[in-house]
Amino acid sequence: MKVLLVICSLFFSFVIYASNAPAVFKTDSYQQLVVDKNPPFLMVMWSLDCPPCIKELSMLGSVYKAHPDLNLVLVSTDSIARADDINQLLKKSGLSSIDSRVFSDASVQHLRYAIDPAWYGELPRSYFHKQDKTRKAISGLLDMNLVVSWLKVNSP
Amino acid sequence: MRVLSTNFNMKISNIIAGVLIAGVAVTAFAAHGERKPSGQLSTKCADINQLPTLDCAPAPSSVFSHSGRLWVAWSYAGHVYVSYSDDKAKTFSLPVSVNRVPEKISARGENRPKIALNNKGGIYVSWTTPLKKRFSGNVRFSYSNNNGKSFSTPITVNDNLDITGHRFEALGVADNGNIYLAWLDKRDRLKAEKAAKKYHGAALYYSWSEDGGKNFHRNQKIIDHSCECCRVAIDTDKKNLPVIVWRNIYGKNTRDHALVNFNAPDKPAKPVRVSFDNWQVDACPHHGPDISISDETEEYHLVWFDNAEKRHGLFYMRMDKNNKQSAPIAFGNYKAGASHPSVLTKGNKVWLSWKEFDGKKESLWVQLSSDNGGSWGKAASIAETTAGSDYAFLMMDAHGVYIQWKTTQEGFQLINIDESVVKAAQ
Repeated sequence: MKVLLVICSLFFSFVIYASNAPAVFKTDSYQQLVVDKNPPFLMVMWSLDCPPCIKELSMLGSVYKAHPDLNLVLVSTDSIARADDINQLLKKSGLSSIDSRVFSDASVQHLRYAIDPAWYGELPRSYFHKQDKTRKAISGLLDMNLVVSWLKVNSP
Repeated sequence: MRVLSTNFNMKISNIIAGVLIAGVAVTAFAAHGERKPSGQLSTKCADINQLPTLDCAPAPSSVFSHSGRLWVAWSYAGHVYVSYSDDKAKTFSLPVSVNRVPEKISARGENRPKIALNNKGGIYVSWTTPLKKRFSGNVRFSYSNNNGKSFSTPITVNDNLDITGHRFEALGVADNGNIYLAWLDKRDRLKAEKAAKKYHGAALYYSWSEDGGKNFHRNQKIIDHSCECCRVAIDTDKKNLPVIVWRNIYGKNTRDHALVNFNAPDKPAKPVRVSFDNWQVDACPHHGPDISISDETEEYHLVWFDNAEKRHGLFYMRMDKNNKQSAPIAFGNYKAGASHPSVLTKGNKVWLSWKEFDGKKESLWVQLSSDNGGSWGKAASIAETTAGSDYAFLMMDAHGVYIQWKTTQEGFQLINIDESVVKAAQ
């Protein structure tokens, strides 16, 4: 049985590894991300368990298609165990080449707090980071026009 | 034979779970080189030679019997399990598997297996099983009439079997033994979408059983356009009828709360709006309300969370059976992330509980009223944890009041919050 377990583990690891699992988002990831992404950028928190998030991804896919310069990072609040579902959905939404992260299995409270103590977990939740290092948070499905007009003002 | 068969199924599913967990752990390590392999707990849970324990369960529910036995329903690797404790959660019985055939079980945050008892020893369990399509699921139900030694083959309670949402079920059992289930249902949304029509949110449906869960009546709709990802809350009143509270969608996108009581099991009254915070958002709050009904005054005690710009945080409100509502009272520290409230009433006392977070520690808070919600004592922090926790749930037995709180570090806890404990913590 142990041999079978090892073989299966390797098999699963290959399958998920090959599908390019999203990077894990830890409690110290946000600070690094703000440096790495070089504002302006848009960070959208989402989950597989959130119907409006699916609409949001589809909308962002359309924006990205028309504006490939969209500096976007997507953070799923699901777990790495659902990497396949996450990747599938991003692919379907035309977002497979976007920087994608997924919450680590540290406490969700800690992860949320590290991003924004005023965020209560509602999804989707978007953070518009401006060049001047300020940011604006919006809960709920974004209006496409809002993203496009933000993009016009904040083209990287 | 029954036991052998149960164990066999459990082992098979544990093998599958073990392989999956091992696979994911190895993968994460290989892909990022920075993630530790699964912790001790996961390794123990994945051990195919051991029965899973409550420590393996992501989101349990529990209830006291009249004799003070604590019954817990929880899930792991495709099975709902029931175990009990006669020493206030210090030790537990070996778990009994409810569903012999493994299936997916929703158990995270707003979703979890539920457990309720009747006065004659009947044990009732419900859960949601997700289906293949995203956001789809069926409401499942099983009962035990032999003191939890075995459970009936699970049935699907939703009588619409479209691959769509029948999820977020709430389970209530009245004193006369009537069993009520209410859930968020997307059958009408699916129908509308097929006709190229827009349908916002989900609908609230319910059903009930008068024969101990062997048969459920035809499903009935209570309202269209409920919010679609918040838990539903239920309690039963003196007339053995349910009272249900949920987050509803008013107008275009205002996510406030609604309540329905009943004139008879098949006659829901007109739903009443109970919160007016005007949280306008096209989002999933993942933050459902709670209700507790006073046996003496028959009043409804309600708690909820909203995050509107002007009115936000946790709120408590009392409502009588004629729908007369008290002014909502805010509680908890909004700036400290006060969230996921629970309410319980017994005699003229009302307990509130909720969670807060200061950036390092999650804390569990309690506030007590001794005049039926008219005035409130000081809020008291009664427990803390540093590595994550489940929601907290107020509950009582014949002698005391407790909170179920499962934390990553401490495991499943049953915390006594009798008046003297609350006063000492203030």
